[in-house]
Amino acid sequence: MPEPANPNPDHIGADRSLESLMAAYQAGDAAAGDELFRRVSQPLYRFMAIHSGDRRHADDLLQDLWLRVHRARNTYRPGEPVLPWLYAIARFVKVDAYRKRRSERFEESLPDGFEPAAAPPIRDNNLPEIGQLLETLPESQREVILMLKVSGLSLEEVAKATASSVGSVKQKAHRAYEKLRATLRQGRQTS
Amino acid sequence: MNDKQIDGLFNTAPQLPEALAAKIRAQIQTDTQPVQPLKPPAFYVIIFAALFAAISLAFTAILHFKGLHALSRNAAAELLLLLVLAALGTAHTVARAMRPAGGRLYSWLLAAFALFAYEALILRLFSDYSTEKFLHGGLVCLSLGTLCGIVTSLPLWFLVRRGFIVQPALAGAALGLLAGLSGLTFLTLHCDNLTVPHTALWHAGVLVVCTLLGRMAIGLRPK
Repeated sequence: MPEPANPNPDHIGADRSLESLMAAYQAGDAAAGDELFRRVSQPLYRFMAIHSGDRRHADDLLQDLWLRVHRARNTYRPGEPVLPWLYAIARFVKVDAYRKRRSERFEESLPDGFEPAAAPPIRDNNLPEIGQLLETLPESQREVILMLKVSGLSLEEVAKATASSVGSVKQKAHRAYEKLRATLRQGRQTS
Repeated sequence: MNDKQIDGLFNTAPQLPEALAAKIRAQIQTDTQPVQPLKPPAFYVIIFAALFAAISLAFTAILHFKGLHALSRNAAAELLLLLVLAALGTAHTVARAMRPAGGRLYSWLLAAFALFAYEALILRLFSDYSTEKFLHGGLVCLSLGTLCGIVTSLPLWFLVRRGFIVQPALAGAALGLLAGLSGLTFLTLHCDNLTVPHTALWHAGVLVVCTLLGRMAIGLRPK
């Protein structure tokens, strides 16, 4: 298994805000782009990995995400928070990849004349426990919980990234925690 | 299990592999040309509104302002005010759609508002319910209005392509709606058939057709 990334806290630009790094990246500063990548990629990867439930797929998603971020860097507005902008693109990449996979599965199934009702997700066997636990949540609640707890976004940032209100994010997080508690309680009782 | 224990579970999330990080870094370092950030949304609202007005007026100028002459001053003012307000609201939505995290897009709500407000105004302003040349005249208006909408949508697409659309269905519908409003404005200024069935079905139909076309065409954009 590959070694995890080891972020270097002494890296140049470590004291700069994400917003100033993003603005410098737009202006062609390669070092700022590199620092931005170092600062935000770990939580983005965790977001993708837990969401997809498959590390290889998460690798592809993160690559695709950075390719799109790089191409769309002109759409970031200097001075605005970077994280909602990044996670809005991450959501799009995730949904786009899901649609592609679904249509590929559908096309593959056509020549045999057999179409599975619901293709099972591709998994590896080192999936963290939290990934399986989050599968019990509806998509919108899982996404909110991942952004809040795994990526460390604020309620306002999640609301912006998901094009919803802070109240709606709070409600989803509350319901998700209720469901997680219930699932864990149920698991303990059965074991 | 309490919330803190649940929070602890999130720390078991996987780590980014160093090899993958290095690979992506190398990819994005290949091109670090400076880029010009998008202009503020207000800039695009003005451009979109100007295109909406210019193309609907150009179509009318080519085919004559018969509708405007047939309408009373009040009716013309009320109809045009509604169309301009709806176009400004839609232009704002399209401008926001160009940026990731630009906010929630209310494209379908806007389309429903524009359609119902237009129908309500038609029912209030017009009282002729005759259906003479209903089908032939209607199809001509629907075709011309849609053509005007398609022509409007071309420069809109050209401008929108600078953005990065993360809500494609809603963005496409909003863009189609703006194009449809241009077509409807052209028909309002050009068509002198002021019967309720004709305007309520065929003129308003341009909005529906263009909104749906915009929604469908979004999949054809380069990614």
